[in-house]
Amino acid sequence: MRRSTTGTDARVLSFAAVGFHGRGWWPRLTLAALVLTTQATPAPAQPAAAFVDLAPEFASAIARAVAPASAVRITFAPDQAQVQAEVVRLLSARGIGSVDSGDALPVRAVCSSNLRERVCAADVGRTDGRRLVMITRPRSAGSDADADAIVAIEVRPIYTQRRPMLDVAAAGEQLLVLSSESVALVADATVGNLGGRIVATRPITTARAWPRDVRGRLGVAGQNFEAFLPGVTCRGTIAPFTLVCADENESWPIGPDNAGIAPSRNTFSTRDGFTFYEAAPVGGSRWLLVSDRSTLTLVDNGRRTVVPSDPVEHAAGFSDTCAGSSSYLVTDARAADVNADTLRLFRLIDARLVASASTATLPGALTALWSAAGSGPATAIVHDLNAGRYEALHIALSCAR
Amino acid sequence: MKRFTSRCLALVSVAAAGAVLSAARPQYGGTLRAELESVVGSIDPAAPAADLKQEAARAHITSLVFESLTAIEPEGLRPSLATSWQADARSSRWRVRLRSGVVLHDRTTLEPWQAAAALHVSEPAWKVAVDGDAITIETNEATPDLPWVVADGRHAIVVRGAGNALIGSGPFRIDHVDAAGVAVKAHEPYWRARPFVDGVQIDMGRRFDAQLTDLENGRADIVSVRPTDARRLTRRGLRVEASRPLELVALIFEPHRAADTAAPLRRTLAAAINRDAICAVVLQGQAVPARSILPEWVSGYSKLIGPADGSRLAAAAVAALPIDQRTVVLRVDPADSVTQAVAERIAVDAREAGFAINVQAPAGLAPRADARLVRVVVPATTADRSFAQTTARLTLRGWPAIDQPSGATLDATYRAEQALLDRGVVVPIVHLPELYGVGERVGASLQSAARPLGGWNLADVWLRSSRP
Repeated sequence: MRRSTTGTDARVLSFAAVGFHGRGWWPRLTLAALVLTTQATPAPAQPAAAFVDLAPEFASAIARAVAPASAVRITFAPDQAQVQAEVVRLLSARGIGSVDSGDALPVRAVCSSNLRERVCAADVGRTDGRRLVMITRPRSAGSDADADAIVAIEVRPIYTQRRPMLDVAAAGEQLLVLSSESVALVADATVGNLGGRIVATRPITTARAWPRDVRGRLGVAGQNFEAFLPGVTCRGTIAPFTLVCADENESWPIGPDNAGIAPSRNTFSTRDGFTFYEAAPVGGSRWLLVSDRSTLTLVDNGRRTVVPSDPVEHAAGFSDTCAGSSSYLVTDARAADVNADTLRLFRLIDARLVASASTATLPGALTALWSAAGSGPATAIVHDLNAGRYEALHIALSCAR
Repeated sequence: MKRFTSRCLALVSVAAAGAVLSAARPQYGGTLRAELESVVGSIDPAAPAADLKQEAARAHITSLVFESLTAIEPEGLRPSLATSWQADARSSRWRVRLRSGVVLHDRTTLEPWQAAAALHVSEPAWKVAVDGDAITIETNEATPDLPWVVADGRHAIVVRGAGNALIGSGPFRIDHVDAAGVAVKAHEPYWRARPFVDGVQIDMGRRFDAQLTDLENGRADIVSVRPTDARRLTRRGLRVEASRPLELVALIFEPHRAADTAAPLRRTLAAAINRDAICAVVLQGQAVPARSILPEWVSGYSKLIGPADGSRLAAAAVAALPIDQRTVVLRVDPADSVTQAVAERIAVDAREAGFAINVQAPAGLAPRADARLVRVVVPATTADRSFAQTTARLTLRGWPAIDQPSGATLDATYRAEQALLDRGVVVPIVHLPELYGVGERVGASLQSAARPLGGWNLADVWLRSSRP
């Protein structure tokens, strides 16, 4: 667990800035959002289902090892009930019954994997005359004012995939998904179908090696879009779906004037050399910058003031919201013993942060948080370690509670 | 029925702990300070190591500097300096296409002839030639698992420059080597991206106790930790990061206890051992019970193998043993406190079962022992290769004789391992991970400082700057 200098739990902040409001996604996803906001427990991994495809071959092998029309007593590990059920069903279709009787032929079975292959193995029979049944399949080779009382954080899921992603942005009724390798155009990413359907993909072509903490940002304007990566800028169109990349370092659309991210780093820098990770808009021309020392610095008309806070890594800013002049900041905190981040809400008063009661638990570890301008939703990318997937979320403030 | 689950789950939580500490944005810069127990004589991967300990320590360093054509990762075999490979019908001639644009530590680009020359040094029996942007490797016999073979650190691509300088392509380049340590610097144009830290200072020859003290006092950032010391660090708020279980602790009966007449002794003593208690208590949750030579993640079949535990069975059986089989002398390495602690706990279990057992840690000559407790590394590779290499390490003293699998298939490996376990001469006790204590300067990351399959992952480690 990270520690602050005062010994309190660390804060993690993030967010981002970009100009897309994604109106089409909001109403469709509200229900799922509420579920995410209120359920803190990450989804468990489901590895057992991965072996169901081996069940037909495995059942055939077991059937060959036992007498026809016999009865067997099959035991799998408790977390492999799905593949066990399938094997039992397939054996039954071959006339081999599965019973709990102690007289039946015992079959101890397990499905697992090693570095080279996936394997299902069974120990068939009793001490005398035990037989080994084993099938293997290669693993795939490497060749996803008083607002405190009424303002609350809302989390709305947008899209999910197995492979890492850096940012997402709405493009009409479709979604652009940025990774370090490509930009994908996704259709049908609706409630209940967060996986969507990738309709086209364009590679990001560059000779550069990405930094280890690679970051990326999308910007959409009508039918055109831009993808910003460290030392690389790509420009494309939605229809037809095109993308052209160049090794050039441009200012990123994160709000304050910046020189982009250097090709082998993960930080932005201002024109006068101030280094920061993220910028949160807090109204007017004011920004809260998350520095590379994990501090918050308020930038107001070029004047910089350190804002006292616990160490922060990510923050999103919201201004012009909830019928008030207050600006809010959402920061990220990591729970000590779960693979999930918690968002916390603060109100910015002068150059002080005042904590609000609202929190929201994310389904995993926050890897990116890009603020939008004004009251628009921030875009968060979360790595759900338990489920092994990445989720794109909209982080917004609700003024109705 | 054999249990499928273990009560010794703390290891899992330790491994997960690295993932929990994640969301901070990494910072670049700084020099990481790491420590090793062994002194490494040469960092040339092709040079023979003095012993297994030195070989393991050297692998920590060479994996920072050099890379192989392929790499074995938790997900399986992955391309590294090679991008693809293809064998002929006999699997005796392989064509390996090399990654283009790999910048070596001397700022030149890796050429196929350099890779061929490096492989010729590491394996003179191969015929290695250049074929355009690829190399061809011919072996005397069929080698269907050659891509797994070349992943071994021994076959790392080492370019030998002027003055026999060793030039690699890895995330760090050698800056300085002397008898006390090695200094490496970040390789800026590394093809997988520059490391976060600017350099690593590795101090060698630091005893485990000294490493712990250095970590606690802030003089080191990453040190090796024994399982028996893990709780001490976590109570101080320091992180302990773990690999997958990579070492086998096993009991080996000596030849005079290996005959069929002594089989009841072997079975009874093995059944008396409470592996769960050894893991949970002695090894502080930093181990998993072993009933097989290969861990589950290496074989995929270990849950089906090996005899069951049961001290009640043992208590009844000891009384039936001939009186000369009720006394056992168990020998352990006097320099290995972990196996000594495990042996002491085995002695407790055995005494409860009715044995008279003496643990012997001789510095010199000592009476003949009946069994010895050994600790060997289980290589992370295919099950058949791992079994062959692990059993070779078990038999370093020429005993016991272990039959090898009849082929490279998984079921052949299973049968060979089951046959070995059925004899009861080798009794697996626990599987241990590599453990590392991580200092307060090291920032939290999704990537653990401990590589899952062994060694350091220092390219992904970053250091916090001092707070203002």
